[in-house]
Amino acid sequence: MSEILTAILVLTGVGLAAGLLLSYFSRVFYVEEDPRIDLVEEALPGANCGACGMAGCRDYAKAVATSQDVPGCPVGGPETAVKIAEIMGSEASEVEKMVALVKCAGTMERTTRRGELVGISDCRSASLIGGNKECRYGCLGYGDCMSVCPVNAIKIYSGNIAVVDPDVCIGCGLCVKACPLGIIDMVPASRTMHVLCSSKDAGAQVKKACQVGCIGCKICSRKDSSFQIEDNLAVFTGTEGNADAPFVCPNDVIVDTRVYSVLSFVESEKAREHFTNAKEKFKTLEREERARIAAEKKAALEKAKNSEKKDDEKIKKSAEKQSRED
Amino acid sequence: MSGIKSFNGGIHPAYNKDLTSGSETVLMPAPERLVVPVGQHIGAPANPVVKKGDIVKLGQMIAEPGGFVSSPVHSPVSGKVISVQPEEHPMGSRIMAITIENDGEDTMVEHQTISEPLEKDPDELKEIVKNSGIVGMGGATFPSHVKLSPPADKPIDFIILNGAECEPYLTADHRLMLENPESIVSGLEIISHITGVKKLYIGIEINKPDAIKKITKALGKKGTVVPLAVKYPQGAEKQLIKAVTGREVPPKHLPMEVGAIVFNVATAHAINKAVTEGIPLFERIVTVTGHGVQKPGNFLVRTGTMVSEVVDFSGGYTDDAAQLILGGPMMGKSSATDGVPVIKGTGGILVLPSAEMLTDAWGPCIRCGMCLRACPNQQNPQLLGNLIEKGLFDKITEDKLEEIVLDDCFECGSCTFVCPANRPIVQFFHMAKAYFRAQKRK
Repeated sequence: MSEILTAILVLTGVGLAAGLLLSYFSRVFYVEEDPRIDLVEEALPGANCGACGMAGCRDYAKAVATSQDVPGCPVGGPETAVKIAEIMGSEASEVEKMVALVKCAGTMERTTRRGELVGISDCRSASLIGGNKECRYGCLGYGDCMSVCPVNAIKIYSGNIAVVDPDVCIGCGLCVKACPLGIIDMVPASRTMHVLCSSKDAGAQVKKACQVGCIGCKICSRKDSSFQIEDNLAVFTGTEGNADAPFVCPNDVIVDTRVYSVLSFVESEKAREHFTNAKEKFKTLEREERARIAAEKKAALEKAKNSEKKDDEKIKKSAEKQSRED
Repeated sequence: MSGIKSFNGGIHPAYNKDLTSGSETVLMPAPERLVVPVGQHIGAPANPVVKKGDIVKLGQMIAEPGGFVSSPVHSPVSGKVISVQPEEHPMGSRIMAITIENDGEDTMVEHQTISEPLEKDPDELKEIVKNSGIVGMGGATFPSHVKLSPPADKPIDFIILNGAECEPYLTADHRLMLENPESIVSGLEIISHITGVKKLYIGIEINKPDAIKKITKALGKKGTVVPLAVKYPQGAEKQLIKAVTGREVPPKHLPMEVGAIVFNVATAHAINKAVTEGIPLFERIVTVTGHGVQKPGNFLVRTGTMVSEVVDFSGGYTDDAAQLILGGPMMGKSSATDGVPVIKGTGGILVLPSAEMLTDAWGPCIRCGMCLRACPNQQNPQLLGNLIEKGLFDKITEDKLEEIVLDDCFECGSCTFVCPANRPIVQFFHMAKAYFRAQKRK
């Protein structure tokens, strides 16, 4: 009995002593930490994606708590910015939510193929031998971007093109770094019009390689000045483009996401058919409009000519009158 | 076997040289249109000096060097420049190229011939080599005038001509040694005169006894022919130096570190032609071979001739032709198209039928160590290959594997050849090199 008692007493004693020591040292060596760091971390999305340039959300929270000049969290967007501003007691900085966009719609059927790659199946290797398509800017479809995406927002569909789901994408930008061709771009989530091509080749070369390539014809920029053409490639810089812009493009490169999602525009035959019909309708309307304007112009011209004739006659008559009076 | 020299490591692939080693070099007439890329060498690409509509003569310089480690490009025909724009290049990219329409006249540009080159000033000869666009014709296409200008603090003891031609299938150098041994020896003498080096060697693998005989006869007492063991990659620069001189070039260093300069026999021939006849480098012997072509053979082809035209001239593809490789099967590059021109470094056009194509799936590394024994650099391809496969590039930089192993690797492919798991190890290295190059550019 006494043995058990000794054991209990010794253990209790050791426990007490250790507890006292621990509580003493935790006070002596207490590390003062800004309580806001924990709060900020809680407000962050917690994806630890590194899109802000820091090693995870904890690091970002520390940076926010210690310095003023920290860029907004691209994943959380404005909501997170407001929350952080509340915690920090400062004004929320403007953060625009960005999503990734693969700028290519050259599926298997629409592009000229260039031979089969045997061996290592990834985009980095494929890009070394010039890719599997005649176009040097065409999505290779081996999925280097898909494998780095932390939220599985990128998928390769049957057309062998990577497509980003903008609703799932958190805008971390890892896919942009992974793509050896550099055809993935971060675009504002609010943007509703995209140019789905990255080819900087001259028009003739593009036409040879792909049915849906941008040839740099500049027709879209005449419709909407937000389209800028650099290196034979149109780039949309606005937010909401002119709804007619996709219809004027001769190669159907521009997608209006208010009507079609990028996925359906790239993959779905049905959506393409619908688009072609709409384009046809638009063209007919435009032709009629043009004919109407031309007719109006013609009528106006006729009228002016007639009135001129009358004027001439009047002048002649008055001149005759004058000469007779003289 | 005594007297037959070699190096550590290496492999014994099927050589398949008898397909073409017996067929004499056939002159291929220049086609109607040639696409001459400005990047036919290692180093800075040349800058075009002609424009659309210009009339050029045979051998006229059409692109000037873009730096010291660079080389000019000469017109392979006389005719009219019809475009200067980026075109498909054998290395997979699209780079600037000059397209020339052949007038069929072959009007040669003004040039000088030197009958007694050994009495001329060495610097003058070096200038001729530089202006003739001579590059290493073994495939690496390193500008030759750079090799001929070693820094003063690196004394050179040996000049070695490389006639090993260890790459399976290829016989271009073999045929050259049989058909033009005097020209090769004369080229070697010119190199010796320029550099002032008197110890001259020509290394030839012993599977070419006829070439050894011919070259020994032509060389006389001017140098030594070194018979080499038949092993791949015997013709690699560092391995050749090890075999011939016993000296080992340390990693990350050039052969001149151990006092040796190596030239391919075809380069020596080109130097001789440039100096004595005044003809710049615009044609080379190309071996068209493999079981995917109707009639394998060796052809003297102008640079800028399309690969498809060369194959058509040789007799065309067989029905089951499946894979096109520019160069040999070990170090050559698989090409997705035959619409690319022959350049100064294209020693072979190899076409494999579908049955000979390697399409087996590859598996995980089983750590058998066969690649370690095969590696002619005594490196560890297994470890680095696994790291690259997993994308652990940071780890590679951290452990300095990039500079120690990767930079030293010349992609001979021995590791991939012996791997029982079919792992594309050399392809991993190729990819990683491109990755680190891109990193450095950033």
